Amino acid sequence: MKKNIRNMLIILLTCMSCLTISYLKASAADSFQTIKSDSYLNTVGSSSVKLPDAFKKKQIDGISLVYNDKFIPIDAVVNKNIITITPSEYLKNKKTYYLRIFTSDDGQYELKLKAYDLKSIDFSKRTVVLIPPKPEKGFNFPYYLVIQKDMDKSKYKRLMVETNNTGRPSDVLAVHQESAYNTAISGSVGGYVAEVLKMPMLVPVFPRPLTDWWDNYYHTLPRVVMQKTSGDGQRIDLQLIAMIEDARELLDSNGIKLEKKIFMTGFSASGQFANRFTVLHPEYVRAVFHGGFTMYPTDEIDGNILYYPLGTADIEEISGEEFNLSEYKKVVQFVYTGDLDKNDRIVETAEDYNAYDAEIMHNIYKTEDPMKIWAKKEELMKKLGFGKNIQFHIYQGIGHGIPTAAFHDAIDFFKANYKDGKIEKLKNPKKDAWYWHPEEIPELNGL
Amino acid sequence: MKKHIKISVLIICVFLLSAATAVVSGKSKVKKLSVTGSLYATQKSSLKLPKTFDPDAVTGISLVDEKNRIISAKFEFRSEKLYITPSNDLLGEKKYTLKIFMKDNTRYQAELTAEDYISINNNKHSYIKVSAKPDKGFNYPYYLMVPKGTLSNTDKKYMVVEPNNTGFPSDSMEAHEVAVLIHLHNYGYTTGGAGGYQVASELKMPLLIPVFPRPLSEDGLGVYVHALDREVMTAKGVDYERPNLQLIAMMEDAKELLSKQGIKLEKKVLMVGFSASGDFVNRFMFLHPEWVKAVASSSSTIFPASEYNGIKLNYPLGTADMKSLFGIKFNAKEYNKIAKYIYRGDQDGNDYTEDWDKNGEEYVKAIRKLFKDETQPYKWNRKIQIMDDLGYNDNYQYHIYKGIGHNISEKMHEDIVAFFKANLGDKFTKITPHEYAE
Repeated sequence: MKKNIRNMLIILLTCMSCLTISYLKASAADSFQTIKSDSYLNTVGSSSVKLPDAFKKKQIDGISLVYNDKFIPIDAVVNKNIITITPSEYLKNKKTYYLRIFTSDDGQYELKLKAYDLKSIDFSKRTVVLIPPKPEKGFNFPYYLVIQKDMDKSKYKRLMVETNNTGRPSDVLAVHQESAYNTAISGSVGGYVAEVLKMPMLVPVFPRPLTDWWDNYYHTLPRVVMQKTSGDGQRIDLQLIAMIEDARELLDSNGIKLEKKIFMTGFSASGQFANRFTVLHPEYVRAVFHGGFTMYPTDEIDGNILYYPLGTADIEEISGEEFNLSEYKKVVQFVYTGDLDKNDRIVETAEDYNAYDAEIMHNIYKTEDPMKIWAKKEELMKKLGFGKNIQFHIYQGIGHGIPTAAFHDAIDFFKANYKDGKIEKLKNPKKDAWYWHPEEIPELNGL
Repeated sequence: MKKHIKISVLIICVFLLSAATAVVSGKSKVKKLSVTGSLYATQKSSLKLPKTFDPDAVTGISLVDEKNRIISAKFEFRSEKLYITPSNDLLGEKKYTLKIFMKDNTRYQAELTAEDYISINNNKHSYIKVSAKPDKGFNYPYYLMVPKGTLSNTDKKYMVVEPNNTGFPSDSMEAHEVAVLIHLHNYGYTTGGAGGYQVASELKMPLLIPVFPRPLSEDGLGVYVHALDREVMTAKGVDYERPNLQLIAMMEDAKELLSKQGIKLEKKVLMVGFSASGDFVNRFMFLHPEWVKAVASSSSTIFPASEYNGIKLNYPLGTADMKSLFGIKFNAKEYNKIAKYIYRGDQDGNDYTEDWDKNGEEYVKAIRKLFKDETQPYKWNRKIQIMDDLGYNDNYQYHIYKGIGHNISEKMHEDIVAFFKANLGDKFTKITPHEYAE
């Protein structure tokens, strides 16, 4: 009897411990019930995840989003069997995330979800999407990509790029993002042209910090910014190119094949960005239309050495590449100012021009009168042999602002110069800055 | 001996049986997790976990609010501690549940109440961020600066209040918070400010700055919460509903909080404002004069009357519809008691009366009737004349600074400090301000 009990006890104990051990192991591997789902995550913003109908009756106690064994901070709201998830950080395009759901009836479920920048495009409406930074692809800031309604049917397959220009420094990137969004959707010449001609539009969200603002005027692409050797803001010109290539890839996978070269627009700071970018990377630019002409495609004028950002004397040191004259000559340029604009600074500025630059500008222009400076710019470009490529224009009745007439002219300009090769100047650009007759733009009727 | 074995067998069997039941059903129990430490509403918290807790066995973790919504937070387990960093501020004095899910389906829960982190040091300026407390009447956080020497200051103390003014609209609360930190001189960059920092530091009295929003709007101007305009004051069902009452709730909350730290404050406050925040202060003192001891503002845009020369003066031009709109009857007696310093620069081109505010067509029409044109100093003098006509220029000092535009200088800050110093008692005292701003 005694022995019996002991034996039984041993058997029982062995069995139970085996069971317990196997149970523990099982819990580690398959304690989560896998749920198959068609849902996916957006890399930016909220995503809705649909659970099976059975979840309508379950109470969800906890939700975790896991990537590489790490918990991603999320807000989550449950409405019946739909979970709306808002991560507090950007997710990564085409990576797999695990959504774990814990229900009050002790259920533990797991969904395998992929994240996408742009899962698919609905061409029946305009889509504005923020593409998160991709340091592995060469850009450390997000950008906006606008996909126009009926873009798939458009004959204009070029990317319109206007860099962001907040107009004020802020350490909060969200402030620059709000301004970039406005540029992307309506508040800019580039945004308008892209919408009318149904072209995709890219607006980067570059920073312009308040802290040490004098070294951080990213929105004009000044010398100190080009020379940064540390931090996220190095070589934002190359970061913009990386964004352009990323957008090209995203659109390509959705059936939109873009021309290699882009269109660029800009005014004031973003005009200068377009102007400088064109000199740095003419092989990427088909046509520019901007109000920010300050840089010459030459090393010197009348013995005055022009260093970046006035000229190309040290461009190799700044960008690592020689000035590409043959490509620059292929770029069509329309540059404008207002007859009342007094913003053309030929003085030393904290964020852009040093004392040497200011002195050189004085030597070249020999005047403080903005209209005389403008005339001199045109004359110099002609003298340098670029008269055929660039058109200078003055809008009447406007100071430092974007003329409504420029919206009209930009459409004509980009349409005329859509194809690579021939350079078409505008025959009759508007004179009155405030000219505005949208009914004259045939494409608008289809909007 | 036999009996002993039998009992032990029985005990073991019962134990195993119950274990077996648990294994079969997989039934988990929610266990209370005893953690020590505070959950801070606006910053990183560290909670000490029991020694037996195995962070490697965690399969899920959620911070959940009273409505069972999952609140975004970063969780890190490190040396027997759980660090929680909420992605957005939590609400102060609200209950949150921390839920931790383990590999073996054990579920831990800890009930936590979000707190504000308060630490006041008499030897330096102390900064406190107080989280939003909707139950107490304010939906936004506010900042307190307790200047060096406040704890040892035995004088009668007033709170200094400067409404925040970011200078541009944004939906990013971080942008508005940065502007507040700049005005508190608690940021890497300092500029502007209506003088709150200077007054508080000099008088050794606490400074309160709310973090009100200024949301983006279709017209590009934003919703001008920072100016307390008519559009804002009549908005319903929004988080920024009645910022005036939210500010009062913040003031009361701050007094209670500071009182617990040994800083007793008078009921009334000293208010400063420049530009938009000047409008806010100017309008606030008409709505709630019983809360205001003294004011220094760059704005004078509201008149203490329901009409003037047959022109109806609705909010924010006068008091005509204050009762019907806000249930507030203009309190002339308390209004007259306020010591008021109203200033501007002689080159200031900002038109306070129409520019950015959204006060409706009626307002603009009334302004056009009240003022022949928009030039200065005509408009300024006309305002003073209207106040005279209405018999309300008691306890007012007006001053125009030479050589400055829409800006505020150190000398102006000095005068504002001097004005409050002179008017802490019951008697109204004018100061001798600087003639030139620079």
